[in-house]
Amino acid sequence: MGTLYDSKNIYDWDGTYDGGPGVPIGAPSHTHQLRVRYEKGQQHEGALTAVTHQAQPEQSDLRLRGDAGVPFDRPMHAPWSAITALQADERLAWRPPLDHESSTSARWSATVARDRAVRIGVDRTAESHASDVRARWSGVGAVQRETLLPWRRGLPRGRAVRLRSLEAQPHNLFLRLPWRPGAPFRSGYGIPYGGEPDPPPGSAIIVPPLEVYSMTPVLSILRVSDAVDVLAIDCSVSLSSDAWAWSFQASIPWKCLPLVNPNTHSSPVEVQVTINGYVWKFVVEAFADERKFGGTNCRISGRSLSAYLSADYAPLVSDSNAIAADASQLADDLMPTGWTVTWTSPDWLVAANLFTYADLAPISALAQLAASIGSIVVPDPVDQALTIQPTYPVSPWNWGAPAPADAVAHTWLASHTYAEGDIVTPPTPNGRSYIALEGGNSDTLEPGSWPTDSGESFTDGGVTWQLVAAPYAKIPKAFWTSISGQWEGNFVAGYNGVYVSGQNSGVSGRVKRAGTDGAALLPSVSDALICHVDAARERGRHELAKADRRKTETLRLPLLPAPAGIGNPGVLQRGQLLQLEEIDGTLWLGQVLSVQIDATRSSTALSVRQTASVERHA
Amino acid sequence: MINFWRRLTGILPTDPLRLGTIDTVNADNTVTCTLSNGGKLTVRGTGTVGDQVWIRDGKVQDTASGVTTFADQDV
Repeated sequence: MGTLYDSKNIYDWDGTYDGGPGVPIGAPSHTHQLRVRYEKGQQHEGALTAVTHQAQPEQSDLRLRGDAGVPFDRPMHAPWSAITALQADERLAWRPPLDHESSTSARWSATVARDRAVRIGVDRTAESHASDVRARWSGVGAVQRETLLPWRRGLPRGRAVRLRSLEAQPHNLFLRLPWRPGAPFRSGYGIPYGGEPDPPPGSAIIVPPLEVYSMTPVLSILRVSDAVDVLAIDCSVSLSSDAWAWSFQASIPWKCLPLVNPNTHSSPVEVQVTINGYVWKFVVEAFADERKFGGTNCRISGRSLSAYLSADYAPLVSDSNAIAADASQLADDLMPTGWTVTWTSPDWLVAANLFTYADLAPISALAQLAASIGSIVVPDPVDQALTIQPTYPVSPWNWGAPAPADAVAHTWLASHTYAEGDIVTPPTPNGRSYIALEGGNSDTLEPGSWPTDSGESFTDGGVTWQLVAAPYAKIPKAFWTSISGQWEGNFVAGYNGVYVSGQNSGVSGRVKRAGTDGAALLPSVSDALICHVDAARERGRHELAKADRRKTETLRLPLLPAPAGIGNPGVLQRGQLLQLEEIDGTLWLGQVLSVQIDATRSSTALSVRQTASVERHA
Repeated sequence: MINFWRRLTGILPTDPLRLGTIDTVNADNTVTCTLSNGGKLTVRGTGTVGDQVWIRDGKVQDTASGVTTFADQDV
């Protein structure tokens, strides 16, 4: 009758193998029965179903059905699933058709090839229609395992846009980024920038580390009364550590001397000095001039307006407070009309007749009042205003630890592992942050208190925290031009107590460093005005701070143009705490003692520098 | 920059006003006092045992009346 061919094996009609090109695989002896029926099925397609059904009772062997079904199944899934359904329990029977029918696997590969073509098409579509990418990719990915690689290739694009923003939100909850001047992250992004936000109140001015700090130095000295320029050549403005007035010296052309000559004016001549936008008002009090062949020189000097409160301008007074009054009130009473005094030091009630002085100008009496608790009188550079502030606004032992300008604080977590140098903020923010001096695991419970006024370290589980200092400004090593230091020899660093006493109607007792026995005593101090424990405590704190071992550093810095604020510390003020980066990158804290601004000229080029003395305690 | 007057006065010897309590009145017109910081000092002058006195330059300057003592203050 003929020969039945499949792709590899050739069988005779009676089912014997007659040497086809391939190897017969599992050709059992009864195969011929299948072939017969199969042939019939091909000839009479309409009767196929009936024939295969007829085979069922005769042929318990599954292979018959498998063989029969495959060639006919155009929609591939249906026949395969039909067979599976019928022979779910016949695994052995199921296998032979698969082995036997190499054409089956050929079809499978054909199917795969077709699917691959589909996938490529999708890929191409995805590239050309970017907006449809997500829908198409998700459809393909769910159906076709083979599309796994292209799916992955697609991911980075989606992740760059979507996942980053999703992750950033929970991450930010734990971040406390220090305020600092903004800068574009990458120069290529044109982000519309609405200007710098104001730094949060009390936060440090962070001077950005730059390769070049550029400024255009400006110097002008104008007569206040009529704004006539006295054509200043150079100028130096300074406020020394205990002075209650700014002082200045300037060189002016000799021909301009008549403009400000105090000898020829009936009233003191005031000048307004402007250096890089910072303004001072001075009273010209002295001058020196020189005339010689080929040139003239003239230098003028004077003090800021608080000089009007000195013995040179104000009458001397002897007085005694008839009634008890607060120290700040006594200070107010000293001021003539038009002057204000701001008292920021601790205040106390001065008993009657304790504040008494003989033949003192107002400013000297005020200085005496302030000195009783170790405070200083700070003059305003322009206005008729004075401030009384402690010499040490924060005791050196409570400054806290320096922290890098770009340090990022995280919210404190219980049972968390912290490394040395990690910085946290309390779960309930108190405006301060804390640096780990020693790493370890934090406790399961939040520390009972987060000190804001004590620089002493404290432990929390295995971590030792210390308050992070809150300096006025953080200055990178790129900013200062030189630092020269001078150690004030003091080998007894361990003073921790001092007896402070008033005099008649006063109080007396010991002030000591917290946590110490106060046995290493400084020489006792007494002042008639110490009639309240608050005054005694402040005076004792001042004495202990003054006796602390220290080093005086003289910084030389540029003076960036006014106004001070963002990235610009401006003219430093006495009492301000600075954080400086040393040449080796270490950080230290120092308090400003005095400041001087020099505008100098070499030939015609003007140069402006700021020099500040800084007291350093560690 | 540095206030040289302050630096000068800072190194000059000073004898501060001290507050003491008379322990014993001696026969040679001196008194031995206990200072507020616990030190002992014998100075010229007279007084009554238990009185608080101001001492300067080796002699009792005055009676310290109305001085109240406060407990240790931590800073």
